[in-house]
Amino acid sequence: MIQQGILFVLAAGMFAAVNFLGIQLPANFSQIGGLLLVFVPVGLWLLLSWRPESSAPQPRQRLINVAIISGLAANAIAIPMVQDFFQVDLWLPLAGAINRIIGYSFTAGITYEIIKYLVIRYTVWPDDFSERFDSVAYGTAGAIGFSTVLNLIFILSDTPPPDIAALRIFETTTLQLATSLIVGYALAELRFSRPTPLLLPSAVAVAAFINGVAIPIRAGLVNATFNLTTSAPKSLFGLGFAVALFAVVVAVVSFLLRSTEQQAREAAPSQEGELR
Amino acid sequence: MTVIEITGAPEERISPRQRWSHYFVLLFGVIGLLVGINLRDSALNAVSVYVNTEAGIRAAYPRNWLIDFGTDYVFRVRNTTEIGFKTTIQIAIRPVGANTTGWNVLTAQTLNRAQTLAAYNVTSIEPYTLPDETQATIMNYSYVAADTNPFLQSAPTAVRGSDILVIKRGQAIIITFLSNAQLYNENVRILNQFLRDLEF
Repeated sequence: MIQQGILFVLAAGMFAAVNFLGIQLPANFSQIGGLLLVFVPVGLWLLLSWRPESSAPQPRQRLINVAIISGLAANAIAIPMVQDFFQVDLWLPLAGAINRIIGYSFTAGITYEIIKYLVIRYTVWPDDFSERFDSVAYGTAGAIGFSTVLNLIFILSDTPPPDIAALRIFETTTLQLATSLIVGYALAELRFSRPTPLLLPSAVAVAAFINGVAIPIRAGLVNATFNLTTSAPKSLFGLGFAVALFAVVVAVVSFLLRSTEQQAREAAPSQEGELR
Repeated sequence: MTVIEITGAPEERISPRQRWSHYFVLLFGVIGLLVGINLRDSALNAVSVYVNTEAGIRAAYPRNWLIDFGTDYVFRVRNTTEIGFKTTIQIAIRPVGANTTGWNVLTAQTLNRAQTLAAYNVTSIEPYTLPDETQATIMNYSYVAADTNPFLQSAPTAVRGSDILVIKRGQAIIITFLSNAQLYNENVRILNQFLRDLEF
């Protein structure tokens, strides 16, 4: 949350500086600035999540592994699959709203979520899950690695101005974090409780659907409307949407994790009593 | 004292319930991706049908392409969503005499285009077999297309084209395919699909 808060302030600040205060950055700075911005979420994550682990009694040792493997999997599998195999840019932007949501859910959504799930499943689950909140830590690591590659591709292919790049980086990172938290919650439940076997696939489906909804809605909110007078992109709507989506997902997942954790704590003494 | 820790493989520590849960995710992923492939195929290969009983033509062209009719051709479809040069498929019919050969028709096309198109250049003329085994002739060429409105400040585009000529029932049927030269190999699948569905 702190990490996303700082990222939000940075993205909104850059947007305000360029659009409201009229500060113009040199054109040559666009790509270098964009590349620097791509690594801001990674830097914040290293500083606020990974570094404190070293002083923890039981540090989570494979956070870096999960982040790197997620990034590599995004570059090697997810992006080629979505861009070259599914060719979403050729057919989805022209489709109707419902078809776009369904299309993005079953192409980009499923691909992203299955890959992020597989990375966690085959690197840290179940051995490195010693408590429920490990799912949040490893989910965040996976999302950071994954979104960094998505952002890198965006910056290198489009060369947007830094203010737009900052907003897009925030939105992509936020979306991937939100969906990773959902799948992470299901992985934690599967590790520590006895949920229905359909909980995990349902969580992956919900995460894929959120991707499917967020991609076209964000584009619809941000893109300039077509009319006979001048119209400009409404970038702040995209920022607001990302914040709202993240807040809702964090609130729900946090509530679920805390309540199941509390139930488990309450159940433990009674089970001990029964055993005595 | 030596301590030997014996640990099982991770898979052995997974309960059947957990194992089934992972299987369901993989199954869901496979089904989801198959649905995605199906959605992609139905969107990319979606067609609209055009029938002209007078000319005896039935064609299926990509959906969302713009169809128009002219005096020089029976119909023309263009991908207006494309940025820059619009990929085009056109069918024209010319009456021909009993002694007219494919070479005559294509030469007339060349002479005509050389006067109107910039840097028009024929690259090859060779026999061609249509998907229904009809023998035809294909002429490949290139030219430079510039926007007719100079105020749009657009750079000229190198265009690669193909004319597929079939002489049938005393008329020459010319199927013309035009594409941005850089995207020709990518777009030629649209022509192949069009030819597979074409009846005349």
